[in-house]
Amino acid sequence: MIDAREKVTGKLEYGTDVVLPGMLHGKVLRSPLPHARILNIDVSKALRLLGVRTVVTGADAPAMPYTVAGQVLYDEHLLAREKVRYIGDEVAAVAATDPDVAEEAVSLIEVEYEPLPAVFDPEEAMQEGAPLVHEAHGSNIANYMNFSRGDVEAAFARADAIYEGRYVTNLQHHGYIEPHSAVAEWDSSGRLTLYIPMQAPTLARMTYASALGISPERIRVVQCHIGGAFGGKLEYKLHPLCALVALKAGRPVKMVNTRREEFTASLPRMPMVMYIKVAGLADGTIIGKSLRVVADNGAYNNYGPGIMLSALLRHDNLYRIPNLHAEGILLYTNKVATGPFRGFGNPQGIFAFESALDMLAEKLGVDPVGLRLKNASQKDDLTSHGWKLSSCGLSECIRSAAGAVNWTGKRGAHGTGRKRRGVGIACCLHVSGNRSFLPFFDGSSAYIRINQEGKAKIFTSETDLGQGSRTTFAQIAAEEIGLNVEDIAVALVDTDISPHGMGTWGDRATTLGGNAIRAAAIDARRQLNEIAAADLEANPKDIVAENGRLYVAGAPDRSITIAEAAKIFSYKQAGAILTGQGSYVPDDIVSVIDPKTKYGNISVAYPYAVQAVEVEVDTQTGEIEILNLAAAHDLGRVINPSAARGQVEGAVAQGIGYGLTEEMKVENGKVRNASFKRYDVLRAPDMPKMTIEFVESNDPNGPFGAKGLAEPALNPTATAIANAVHDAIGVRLHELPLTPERVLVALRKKTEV
Amino acid sequence: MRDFEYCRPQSLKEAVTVLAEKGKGAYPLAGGTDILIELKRRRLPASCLVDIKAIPELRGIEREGDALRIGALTTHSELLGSSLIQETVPVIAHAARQMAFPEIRNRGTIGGNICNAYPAADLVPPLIALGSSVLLASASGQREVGVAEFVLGSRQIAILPGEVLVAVKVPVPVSNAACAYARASTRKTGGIAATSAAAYLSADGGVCRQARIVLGAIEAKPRFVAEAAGYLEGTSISEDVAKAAAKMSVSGLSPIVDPRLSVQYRSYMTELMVRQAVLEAWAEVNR
Ligand SMILES: Cc1cc2nc3c(=O)[nH]c(=O)nc-3n(C[C@H](O)[C@H](O)[C@H](O)COP(=O)(O)OP(=O)(O)OC[C@H]3O[C@@H](n4cnc5c(N)ncnc54)[C@H](O)[C@@H]3O)c2cc1C
Repeated sequence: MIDAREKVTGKLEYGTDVVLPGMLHGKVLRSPLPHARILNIDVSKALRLLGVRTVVTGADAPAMPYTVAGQVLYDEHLLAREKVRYIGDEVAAVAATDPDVAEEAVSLIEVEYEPLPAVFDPEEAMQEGAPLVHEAHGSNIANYMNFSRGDVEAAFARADAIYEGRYVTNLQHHGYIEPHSAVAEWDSSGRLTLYIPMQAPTLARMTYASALGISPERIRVVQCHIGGAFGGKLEYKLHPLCALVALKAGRPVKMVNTRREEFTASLPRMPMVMYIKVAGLADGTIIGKSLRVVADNGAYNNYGPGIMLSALLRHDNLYRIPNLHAEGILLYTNKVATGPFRGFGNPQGIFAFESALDMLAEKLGVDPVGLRLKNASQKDDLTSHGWKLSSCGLSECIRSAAGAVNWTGKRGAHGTGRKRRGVGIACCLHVSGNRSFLPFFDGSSAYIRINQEGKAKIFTSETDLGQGSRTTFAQIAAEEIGLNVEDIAVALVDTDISPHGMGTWGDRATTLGGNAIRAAAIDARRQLNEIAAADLEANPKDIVAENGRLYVAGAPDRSITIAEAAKIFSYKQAGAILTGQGSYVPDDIVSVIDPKTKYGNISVAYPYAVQAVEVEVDTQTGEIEILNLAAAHDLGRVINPSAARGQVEGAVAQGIGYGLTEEMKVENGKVRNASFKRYDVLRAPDMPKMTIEFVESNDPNGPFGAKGLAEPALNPTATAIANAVHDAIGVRLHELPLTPERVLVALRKKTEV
Repeated sequence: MRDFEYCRPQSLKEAVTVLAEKGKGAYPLAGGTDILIELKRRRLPASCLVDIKAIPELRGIEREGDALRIGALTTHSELLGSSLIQETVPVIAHAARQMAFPEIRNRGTIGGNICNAYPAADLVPPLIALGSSVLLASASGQREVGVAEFVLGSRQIAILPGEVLVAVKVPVPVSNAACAYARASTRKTGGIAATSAAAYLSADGGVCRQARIVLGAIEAKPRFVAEAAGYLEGTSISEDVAKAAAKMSVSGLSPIVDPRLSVQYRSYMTELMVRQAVLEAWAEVNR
């Protein structure tokens, strides 16, 4: 890892470490009510407090609503106008000389509310007469989707077995250690600089320009090192709000979320209620599936439609299923808005689908592993949704994971004592970049500058969230240029300098960003070769590069260093620096998905993950212990083995949390466990024994064959556990997380039957 | 966080003088693992923190006759590392080990654990079951109060203005007596107790002579379950006896709200914890 030293010595500076001269500190006043009309806001007491510089309210914020990049439902304002829609909604903000004074000032703002009836359950929000979260929208349905392939009703009619079930998933928090933060500064020309830990600075600039009602050109986003993001650090209201406060204060302002704010007002994982039906033939062929999703958007839309879409169809592409139907209803409720989170809807859909597959297998009397292998998609398939699988190691992953937990030896052998054992498996496929967001713009671009000392610096807009992508990028460039990794640095994103790019989400960084960096490296290398060839009186084609040296093939003595070549380049052009430029535009971009039917190839390459677990269930306490977890991942090609393992281990921890312990408990709109003390993320000693296997399918579209990894590694975990619990105690759990209490209730029901 | 004064007295005398002087808004500061959170959440009307960490009289673990004197500043790590505790009241080390993480155990103190009077405080149920008391000092003198009487409810203690908890006095169980502690949490490591139970048993000729069962975390205040204890006394404790006593322990509970778990599940787990603590203590007595 190129930043390991700074990290382990605590020297790396994160967003909260940014300090500017004259900087003030801001705090947000948030709504204490889930739904209410604002009758009056009195800021006079707050303004009288010594040290308070300014207080802003909805009246100071732009009247035009905004939304996040590529979305069309403009439903947000920087500060509430007329109404608050959830406990945590931003009502006012303060800037003061220090954070404690700002906090004190916030407590002195007096707001008069008229409480309104609220709705918290998405299925209730759908009912006639439910309170409207956004009156102007006319309904609580923020988005509706309905599409089919083949003829699902005919498939159900001729099936040998059908399974139907209702599945419910939980509100999970990202649990990144670093809270959201922002430092905003306006210069005398009215230009804004934002220092923010942000996954996608380019999107931030677009979105915040519209939130602030200014042109994107007036915003410079400087990315800070990111202390964990997991999808939660895309656009976030605190950033432009901080800019608004700084504008009114006339001074730079810093704002940092408290942990409580993180747990009440960030963008956690979308809960869903899913009605699934799957049909199969006696020989184990899956012939049809329908899925109806009722998704809980929370109070604002954010990336809701995309998340719901991925829950609806992504997992279908795992298997050759010709007949499919999907219906999705996205609902506003008076709860915290939900947003992108590692998996982006996929873990939810997989929970319904891969649980249902096990139940179907049981009905058909076939082995769940056998069923999956029989139907698994293969390389070069064009799936029912029009996805082109340019590589596919799914079957190999299934065999590997099942083998690693001794599937055939352990399946069905649960014992009879107080503690029962079982094994379970679940699969997923994911994307490497998702082009359905900004269809007019995808891919990635990069520059690489090589200075006269032979040191290179990469400029990209794909951020490193802590997963180590800067190291991966340096490795890719090193390979093409012939430099050592230690001689390559990767700049943080600065929208004034870095190429325009979409940022890190949807597993795009390594595949799309890596391809662009590779292209830039090839361009730099071409220029180096020309200089070396001229200097060494050889043909550019014959120049070989290695360990920072360029030499003539077959004659290693005829060489110059890359530093010398870069110096020659620079001196010949009055100091200009040798710069390689590259971009990667996914081909067949014309097939972007159809907005109505959702048909079309959304990514250049699809990674696969299969996880199998062995659990032990204590039938007395209901506790589930994971004895062994096997993760098999087709990531195309491993570029950095330790970073790749790190991704899988971290994702599995988060996936076990999703499956067993993590849930934001919301009662009447209030998060009741808004701290790490009461929100149970896994800790190192909680981790089970784990084996990780990488399957390298070498995708033709990925840099050196590489595809995404970070998101898929979480997707199947919870479901594999649920399937193992079913094997152990014979009960199917329909709701995440699988708490001891739910296990006991299900066991009791089973004995009553 | 609101502004507050801070002072660091060097002796017990100085501390009680300062506390008396500063009056109502003055609070002792020990490890700070609880009080700082309360301050940050603006839930504590503290105008002055009296840091007691430099006071030598509040330190040390010593045997005094048939009891242990544990200084108020003794950290949880010190409790679980002490061979004296290990030999005389291992249940205290066991309870300390259940708590939080090494970072918190290195700072949090026994005095803070009792004075914080958090329903889930892990040291309190075993201390009560053992019949422990606290030694309190103020400008006007010293007094001793049983832990059971000292802890009044959630975040409520029978401390008088200007008093400092100096030490905890723990009677060392006689050779045919033992105490055990069991707790359930929502996670394997570092979770706060969702429910807990301590059982103190003494035996004579294979029959239980004296029993004390204390429930923690489930109600606002640690609860003595006299009926179940009475049921155990005079019996030779078996799995079934323990089970019956456990069942008695949870009748008539009024559990506090824990957002993580339902009341039913916590009552059920309380029963299991009582059973476990009783059986463990009994096994220890008969070793
Ligand atoms: C992450 C985390 C996890 C935790 N997990 C657990 C757990 O599993 N189990 C558990 O029981 N606790 C837990 N706690 C709570 C806490 O750590 C313990 O209660 C600890 O023992 C408190 O001791 P302290 O010295 O830090 O108290 P402080 O925070 O210094 O003080 C707490 C209160 O007691 C008063 N006080 C302290 N000492 C004295 C004294 N000598 N005389 C008079 N008043 C005094 C203070 O004025 C204050 O009101 C946890 C805390 C955290 C932050």
